Amino acid sequence: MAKNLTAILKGRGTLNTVLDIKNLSIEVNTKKSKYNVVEGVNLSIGKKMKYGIVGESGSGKSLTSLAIMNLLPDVLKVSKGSITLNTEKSKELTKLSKREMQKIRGNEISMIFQEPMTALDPLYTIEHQLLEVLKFHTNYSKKEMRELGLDMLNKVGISRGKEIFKSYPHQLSGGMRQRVIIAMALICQPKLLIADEPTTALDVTIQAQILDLMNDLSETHDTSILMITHDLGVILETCERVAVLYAGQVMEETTVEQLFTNPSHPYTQGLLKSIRSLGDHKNTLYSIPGNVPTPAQYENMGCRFSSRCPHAMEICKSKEPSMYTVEKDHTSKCWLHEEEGVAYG
Amino acid sequence: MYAYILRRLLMLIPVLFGVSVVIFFTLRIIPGDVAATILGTDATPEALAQLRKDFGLDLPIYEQYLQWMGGVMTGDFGESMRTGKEILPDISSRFAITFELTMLSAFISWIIAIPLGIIAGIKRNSKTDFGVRVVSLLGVSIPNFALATVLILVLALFFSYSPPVGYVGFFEDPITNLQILFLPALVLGTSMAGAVTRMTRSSILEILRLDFIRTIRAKGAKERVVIFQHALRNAMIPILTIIGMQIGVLLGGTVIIEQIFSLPGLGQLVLTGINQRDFTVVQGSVLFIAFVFVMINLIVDILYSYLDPRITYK
Amino acid sequence: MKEFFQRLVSDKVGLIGFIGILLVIIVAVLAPVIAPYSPDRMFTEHTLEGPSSQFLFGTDELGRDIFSRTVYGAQVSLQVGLIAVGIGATAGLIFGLISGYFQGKVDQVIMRVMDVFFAFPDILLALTIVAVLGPSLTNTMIAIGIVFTPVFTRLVRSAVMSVKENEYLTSAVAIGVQPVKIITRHITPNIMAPFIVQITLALSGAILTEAALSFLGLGVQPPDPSWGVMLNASRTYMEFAPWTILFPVSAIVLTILCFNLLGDSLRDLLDPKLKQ
Repeated sequence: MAKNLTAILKGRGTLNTVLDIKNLSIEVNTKKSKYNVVEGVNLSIGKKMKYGIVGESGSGKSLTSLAIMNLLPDVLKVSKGSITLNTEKSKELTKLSKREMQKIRGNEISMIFQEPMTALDPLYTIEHQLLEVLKFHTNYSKKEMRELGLDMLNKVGISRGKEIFKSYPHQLSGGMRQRVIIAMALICQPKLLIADEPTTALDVTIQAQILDLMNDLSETHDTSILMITHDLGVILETCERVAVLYAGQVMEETTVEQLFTNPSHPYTQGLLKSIRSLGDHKNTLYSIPGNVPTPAQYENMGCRFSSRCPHAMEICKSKEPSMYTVEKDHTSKCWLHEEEGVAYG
Repeated sequence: MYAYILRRLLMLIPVLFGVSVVIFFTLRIIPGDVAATILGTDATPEALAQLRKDFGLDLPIYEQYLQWMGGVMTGDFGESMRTGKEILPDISSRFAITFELTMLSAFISWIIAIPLGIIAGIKRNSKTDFGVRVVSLLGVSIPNFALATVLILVLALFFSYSPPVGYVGFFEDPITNLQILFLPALVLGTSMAGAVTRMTRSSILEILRLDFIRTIRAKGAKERVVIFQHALRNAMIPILTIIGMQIGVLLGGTVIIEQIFSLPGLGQLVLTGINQRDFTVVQGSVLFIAFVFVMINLIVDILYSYLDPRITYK
Repeated sequence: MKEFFQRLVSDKVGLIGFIGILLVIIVAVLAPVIAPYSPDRMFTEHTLEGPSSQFLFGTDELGRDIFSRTVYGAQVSLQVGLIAVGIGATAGLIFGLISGYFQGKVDQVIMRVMDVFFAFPDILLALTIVAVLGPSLTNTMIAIGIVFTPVFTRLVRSAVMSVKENEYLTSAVAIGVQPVKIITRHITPNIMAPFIVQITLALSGAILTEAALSFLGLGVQPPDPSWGVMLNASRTYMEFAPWTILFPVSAIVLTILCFNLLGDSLRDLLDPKLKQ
């Protein structure tokens, strides 16, 4: 009975999830060309969940996150599907006005970008840029804001808050800046934090610290995380569920555990093989042969991975597979699942 | 900060020294005898010798230079070869006109160009943007003297208006003064506005592309905050550069505009000096204008470091 | 190079500019064929006549055909543009290469001298030089060439310095390639893009400055048919004979406009920073 209820609730997708993306397509629309760069993406991020999207550059992972924030560049727009944010009320983000969206950004959904070196305005102090978020979304007094700000800096591991308040971005190291950016993102206690490659530009030693920090803070603040990365290692370290994006489509979606123990899609298998060969000195480094197709090539190519797939069959090149349920909580978009008895791995 | 300004001032000394050398020596390599051109071909040898002696032209050239510079340092720019009048008082009274004209023109160009550039940059590829781009491109393609001539013609033909003759100082009669200067300043200002508009637009576009703008939007900032607090302030740095450069163009432009509108400014003094081969006047005025130009650039640089915390005073 | 031209052609604005400049060049080269009369021929019976079938653009105060003078004016403008920019660009290229390549004291000296020239507003420097050399077509070109030298020097110098940072050059130096060879083989081709853009802009600047100097009576001397000279001469009569200024003004504005169109489009094509 209880199991039944959760299933029903999950089906509605309003109580247990923070964000539901249904059948999302993003379209490039210029005078010269018109095509989808992201197509039919479905994601559900549960409350307090840490969800990962993994994919190569050009897979559409960053565009998906920008679409959630409604910050897509001018030439791109959401052409189909819905993005629903479930906080006190459910809101359909693609239908909100500019004003309403501004109230959500930085307040209910925050975002951290890849490049900490250029993500801050060089002309304003850290104090201004941190407290600005509070100014946009709250009515606190100057004094309260300062206190909150210093407290937040403390939480992200910056103890000399008063000193840092007076500095300008160029005076801080990359790791420090990313801490400040995390503080900015979390100061309004958002329900969802989108982190787009938050550690890629940082030193390896600092990467782990920043990831730990995000993990800890999301737990204390009850914030869900959507981690966008090209690095399966980051996914393993931080996430619970993961979607593998390739050429604008979700290829496989499951728990992190299942993804690493039982990868079903040949693309995922290739990705895992390439990171596993890293630690293996006997073999040469594995990389998936071939190139990612460009969005202009997407149409009429059947499965988008077929050109690089070691298991490609006739049907793969002509017809796009649908999402198959491989096991509980595990879906994969591959023709191999159509037949029985295919050996994985 | 003061140390920085002081150091920048010290750095100007070699530049200004170079300027003085260039002006002085180029004006001395003129073929022919200056005294003869002034006095005419039928002058007696005695009169020529006397004139040369009066202006120190009989001395070795480096001594002439030292004498001139020594004078300039103590505020004595020498006397006009034509009228024998002291040069500096003339320069400073005329500079007041040129300076007022330059500032008025700069002001006019800013109030036209900066808002237009911002609007065009924000509404990129819209009809407004297209319109602004066409107009500003025309603006940079119409020389100020052509604009002045056509404007005078149009006013005369269609409104039977001709620009007032004569000049009244600002402190004597501010209203008449502004009436006289309005048209010339409008011409200079609008002809400079094209370049400033283009620069403002491209600076805004460049800034809006930067990562931190996206961060600010992601923080939930209203578009007004994004544009006015962040994009514009960052764009001010390149805009300031073009403004500094344009002041030089304006100072040069005054030479032409003062001529067209018969304004007794410094530019006109240079021009008459050149036409009458009155080289003490030319070298004094040009040195003075170069000095002002260099000082304006210094002020721009100081504003720069005020706007941009990344620039240190060391 | 071919691809570059294809892109230029696909950019309509740049193409308009390019065609416009081509037209000006054709008009200048074919001036004797296009112009119905000699630019100096005076029809004393027909002074200050409006446009007619005999005098397409009307006549000036001396009865000269304004159409013919405007056509020949294109020759003057282009000649000044090409030669003045040629002087400025060549000098700038030489100084900039020396300065950027050797750096050190040579660089210091050259750049300080350029700073001095930068301290003069352009037109004022040109005026002073013309005043010294005496007003004439040749001297106008020399003066404008000198005025443009510092811009080219700075441009080339900074381009050379950034190219020099590149590893392949360091290795070329390391294996002992002659400096002159390094400059001609490696550096020069790499700085062509910004250089070409600057040349286009300088061409319009030179034409403009010539017109301004001639307008002030310190450039090309009458009776030579410079647009600036024509404009200046007509100021006295323009109220009764607007055509006397209308055509030279249009010629100046359209020519400069075409150069600016081409310059803009070249800059967008060649500046990697603006490519998207």
